Amino acid sequence: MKGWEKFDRRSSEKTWLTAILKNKIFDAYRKKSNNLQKQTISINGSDTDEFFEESGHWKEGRYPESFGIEGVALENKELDGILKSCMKKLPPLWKSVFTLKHIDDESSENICVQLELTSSNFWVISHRAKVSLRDCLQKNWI
Amino acid sequence: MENLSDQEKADMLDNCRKATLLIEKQHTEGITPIEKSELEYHLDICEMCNTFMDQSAVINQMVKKLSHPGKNESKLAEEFKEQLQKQIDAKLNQSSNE
Repeated sequence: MKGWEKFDRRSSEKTWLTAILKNKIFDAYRKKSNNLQKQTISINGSDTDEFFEESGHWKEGRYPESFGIEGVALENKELDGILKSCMKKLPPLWKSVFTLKHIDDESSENICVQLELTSSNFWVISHRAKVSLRDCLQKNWI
Repeated sequence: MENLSDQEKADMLDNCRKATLLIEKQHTEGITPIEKSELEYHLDICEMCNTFMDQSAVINQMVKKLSHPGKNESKLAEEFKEQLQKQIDAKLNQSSNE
């Protein structure tokens, strides 16, 4: 309510409140992700790649396999539970990027600005988060 | 579909890392025509990346669904809501009187 006096009414009250909330949300994500930026640098190197060979092919033991329930996965409560616990296991920065992108529907430009990421680092993280999540689902489901 | 050079084809032949990155990009931003051709070329020959693509789409949908839980969640305390409503009403009256 304190900022209300400064608000010059050029936009609607709703826009004003939404903008405040968005900034609060980004603050929370930034806090969580701070000091973890360094963690992402090592995932660029192919020598430390957990999932792919140097050629780019899937590593043995990491091959994606069918869950057998892809068509009805959305109705499956058990799979929901596994997905939730898999998301919790993601490193904080990956989780922030994944959540902002897939749940909060933020644009990638905005996520990069707010979390101080380069575009290529953003894509490395988005990719890694998805590959890890999928792998975690497969391990816990099949 | 863009025609790929032999070199571009060779580069995509075993490159599941790039294919899965393109799958992730395609979902959010869209990819260039060349990238689209590279991805299609790879998906024609790689069963595993087809599985990945299907499951990636399923994960996106599941996450969306999880983020819209039913009602009965995160309610504000009644007292706080009343107080806030009063504050809002007061400010609204004030600004409509200006």
